[in-house]
Amino acid sequence: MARIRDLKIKNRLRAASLVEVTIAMVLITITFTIGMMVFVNVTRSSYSLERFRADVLANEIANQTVSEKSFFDEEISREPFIVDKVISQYPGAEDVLLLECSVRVGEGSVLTTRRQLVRGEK
Amino acid sequence: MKKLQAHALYFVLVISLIIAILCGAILLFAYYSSILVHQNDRKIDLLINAQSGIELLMSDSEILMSNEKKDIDLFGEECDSVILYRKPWGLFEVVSAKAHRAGVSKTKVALVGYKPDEDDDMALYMVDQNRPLRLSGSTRLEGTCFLPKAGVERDYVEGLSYTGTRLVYGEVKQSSNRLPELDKELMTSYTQPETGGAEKVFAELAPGDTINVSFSDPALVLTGGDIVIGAQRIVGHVVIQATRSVTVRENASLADVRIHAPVVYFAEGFKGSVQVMATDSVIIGEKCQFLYPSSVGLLKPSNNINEAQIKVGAETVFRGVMFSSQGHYDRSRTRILLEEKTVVLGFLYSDGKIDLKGEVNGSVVCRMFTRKSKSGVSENLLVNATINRNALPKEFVSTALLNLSGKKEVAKWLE
Repeated sequence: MARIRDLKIKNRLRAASLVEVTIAMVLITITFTIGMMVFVNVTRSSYSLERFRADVLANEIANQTVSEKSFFDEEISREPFIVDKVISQYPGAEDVLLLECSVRVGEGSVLTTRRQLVRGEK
Repeated sequence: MKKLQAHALYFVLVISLIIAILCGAILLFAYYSSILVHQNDRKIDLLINAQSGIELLMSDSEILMSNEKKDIDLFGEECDSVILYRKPWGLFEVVSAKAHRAGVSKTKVALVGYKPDEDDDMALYMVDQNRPLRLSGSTRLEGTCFLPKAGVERDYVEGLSYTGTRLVYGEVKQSSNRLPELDKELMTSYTQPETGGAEKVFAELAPGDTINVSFSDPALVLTGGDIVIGAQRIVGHVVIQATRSVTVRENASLADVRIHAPVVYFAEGFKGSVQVMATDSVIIGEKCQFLYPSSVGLLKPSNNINEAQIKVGAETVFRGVMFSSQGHYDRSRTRILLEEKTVVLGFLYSDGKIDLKGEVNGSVVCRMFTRKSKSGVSENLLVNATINRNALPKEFVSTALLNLSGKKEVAKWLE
């Protein structure tokens, strides 16, 4: 009996109590949850790659329209985007046109719209 | 005996701290990158709006008068404001569009000229005075030529006979007995002195001084009696106004400035771009380089009894528009003399006489040609001269000097 007691004392391990472990688990869960929420929100709210590509496409179509003088309405499909190009007369200036390029994905909402004035005839 | 530490709470706090720091870093990174992206987006929008403003200013519609400033909302949504401004600058026009939103602005300024329709393009227009145009030596006329009814013929002058296989390398049309008139509105603005700018006496400048005035700022007017521009560098929205003469030395550096004086001299070897308006004479030395877009105009007033002339020295290259006019009946007509090996890339107009010994890659409109030689003065004669409309680059933008149909175009972006 004395030998067993001696052995227990010699191999004694310092461990956390049940309360300590419980608090630690709660803390780590809260921290990870907050971290995940921050990450998801940041990813969602930041300037998306999709929006960036839509901007680049709108600029490309507008520049192409000006250089080729293709001043007519058209729907241009560039997977996965659809560009609605609309040309209208600018009020107050007969030889000035309003060029609008709106980019959307499928039937979804418009991602970006670029507007500029150009001289020409429709 | 080895003991294991097992403070769970301690480890968890350390890990939580690291995760919190990482989350903070991600948040900051996201915040700053979104600010940068939005700033860049706004800059691009403002530049597009400024470009739209320039397009509006170059339209045929009278959006605003000369020397007028107007703030307009481009698309009616109160977030695309552009301040538009226009003013004459020599034979050209300065147009400015400043787009602004939420305290940020972008400005575009351009020197605008005029590009005539292809139907009005010509190499030569010579008034019909019932005498033919005579060609001798290696003279070459290329492009559409408006010539007198008497036509064009070969001649043997100064021991030289005409060497070409054809007289005109292009279409020949008949000219009338009148020159195309100068645009009255342009002439009125061209002769107006600069108003509203800051004034400074030129003599106060020291050699080596640099003056650079943005076209977005009010003009600086440098005044004097006889002005000599030496080793100074003068750029931008500056008018040099002299009551007697302006002398530009070869070491002067001028870009886009206007010069107003009765007499203007350019020393041999000068290089720069200028808008010159003289009332008596313009003397350009040899081997000068006038950069595009330059203009030299001579408007002889009725009280000037001297023979007003523009004289261009040998081997000078002039890129732009050159004209002389008396604007009233005068027997002593204005004269433009282009010495041998001079090259004019652009447009040449004279309602007096042109003595052409060099080359014009562009268009010539004149009443008559003269040629001074040892044996005397010959009229309507071209010897070893070239007028080639096809050698003018398609990008060349002229001015609205003549009332021709055409379209405004940017000759040079200033800002």
